[in-house]
Amino acid sequence: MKSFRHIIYALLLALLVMMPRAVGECYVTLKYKDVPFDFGSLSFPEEMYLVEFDIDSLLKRVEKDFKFQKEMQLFAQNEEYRMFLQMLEYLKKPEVKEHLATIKIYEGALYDGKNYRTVWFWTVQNNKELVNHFGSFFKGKITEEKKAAVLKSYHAWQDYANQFLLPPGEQIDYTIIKKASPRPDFQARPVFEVLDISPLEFGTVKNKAAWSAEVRFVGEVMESFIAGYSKHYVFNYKNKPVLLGFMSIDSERNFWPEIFDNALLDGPVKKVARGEENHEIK
Amino acid sequence: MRLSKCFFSTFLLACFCFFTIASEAKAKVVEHKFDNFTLPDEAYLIEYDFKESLNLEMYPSYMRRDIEKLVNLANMYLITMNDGESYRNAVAFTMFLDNELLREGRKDLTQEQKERLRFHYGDWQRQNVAYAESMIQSELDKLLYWSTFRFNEKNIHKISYAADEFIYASTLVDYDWSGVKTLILNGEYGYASRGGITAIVAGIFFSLYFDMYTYNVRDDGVGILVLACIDSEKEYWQPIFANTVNQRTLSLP
Repeated sequence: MKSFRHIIYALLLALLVMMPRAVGECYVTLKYKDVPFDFGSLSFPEEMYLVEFDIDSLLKRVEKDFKFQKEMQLFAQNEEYRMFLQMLEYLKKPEVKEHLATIKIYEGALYDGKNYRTVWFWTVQNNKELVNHFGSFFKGKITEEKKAAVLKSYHAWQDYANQFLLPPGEQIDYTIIKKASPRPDFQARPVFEVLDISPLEFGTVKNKAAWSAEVRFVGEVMESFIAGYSKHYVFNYKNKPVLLGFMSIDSERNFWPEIFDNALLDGPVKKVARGEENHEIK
Repeated sequence: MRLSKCFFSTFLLACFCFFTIASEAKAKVVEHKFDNFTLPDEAYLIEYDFKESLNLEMYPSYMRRDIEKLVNLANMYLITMNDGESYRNAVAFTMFLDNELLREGRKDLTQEQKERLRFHYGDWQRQNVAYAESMIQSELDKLLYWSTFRFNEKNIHKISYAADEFIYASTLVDYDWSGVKTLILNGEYGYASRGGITAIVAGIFFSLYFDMYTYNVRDDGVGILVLACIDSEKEYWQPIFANTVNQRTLSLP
């Protein structure tokens, strides 16, 4: 009986020791702010740093710099510079501009009580309404037909992405110290390998269908491996599809999805794996 | 009965030896141009040699000599490790600042002159460390005081690149600097400093953690080792960085 009491005391003491630690470690926020976007507002934690990068002014600046470099003959102008300038001029044409989607790039940062965490996200908004066939996927609630059609195309994409899947037996050789080649070939095709692809997720944004999927990948940047995590949401806004995607480093993949799910989706998401297509969507 | 006791104790001893050997982490010694540092055996490492990779013809002739001198003994390493759950990256940068007087006039200097130079050099270094510490502290305080950054802005800031001011505009959000500690590195006196910096430069937010070591290299000059990672991974990298150089803390009176 005495030992039983000791166990209870020990458990209580352990709880007392662990509680402040648990409270300190998990991210607690009580206040949210409504941040206006073109497709409505999202509620992010109040402490979150958000910045939008003006792509138009950035491209203008790059163009100006390239032209200045050409005039001053600072660096050798190669084929890529010329092609880039040509592409910018093509995109400026009004007949091309009206067909393009609006792309916006943002950066977000949040202090979780211990560390600063950073995320990059982007929105792609179609300027035109989609034709009936594609538009019907995003209008109204999810039906069995819509679900089957979307899963079919998602699985086709998944099969394509599986080509880049890192084989389980193939591991990075850690025993060697690799020396970077003296003249790295930056024009060579970057190596990209997929580590993990999630099943398709079904959710709702303002009571309308929303689809999301996540991927973990390893990219070879400057001959070294950098792993990342990305999640994309597709949903409907005034009969125009909107894509919201974000990317973070691999070790922060358990932190950011929760923030974005809370900001965008109405309720909990439903994951549907391959072979489980007949589950009911609530 | 005695046999079984003996057997049991031998078995325990064997288990203890096995676990001690098994728990010893293997280390990888990375040899670079003037010294070496240690990393866990699981670290994937790629070495960048600035001298080899730089295309010096790209730079104007008056800059070439200085650039060549600067990168002569500098190396950068990108480190990748997998802890079983996720991949993590860090950067190591090594540099050698050679003391030309000691290097070129080495043959002509007497032992006494060498000793004197070492004494003066040490004195100069100590003074500079104290000066740098106070200067950095006051500058950082000023920056923090003028910082206009707030986390709870209502809307999104829009960063325009049309004007030059935005490119160079920077805000210091947070910093954490341990100051300079005197250590014994590779059997000689050395200085260590660690810290983090969080800033917004041209709208881009970043938060980095640094571990820096400065030490004497065979009386020829100063070796510098800088290790860096992003702030959210600093708990993981801190013990690894601390074991890179052969160090033990010096107990000064």
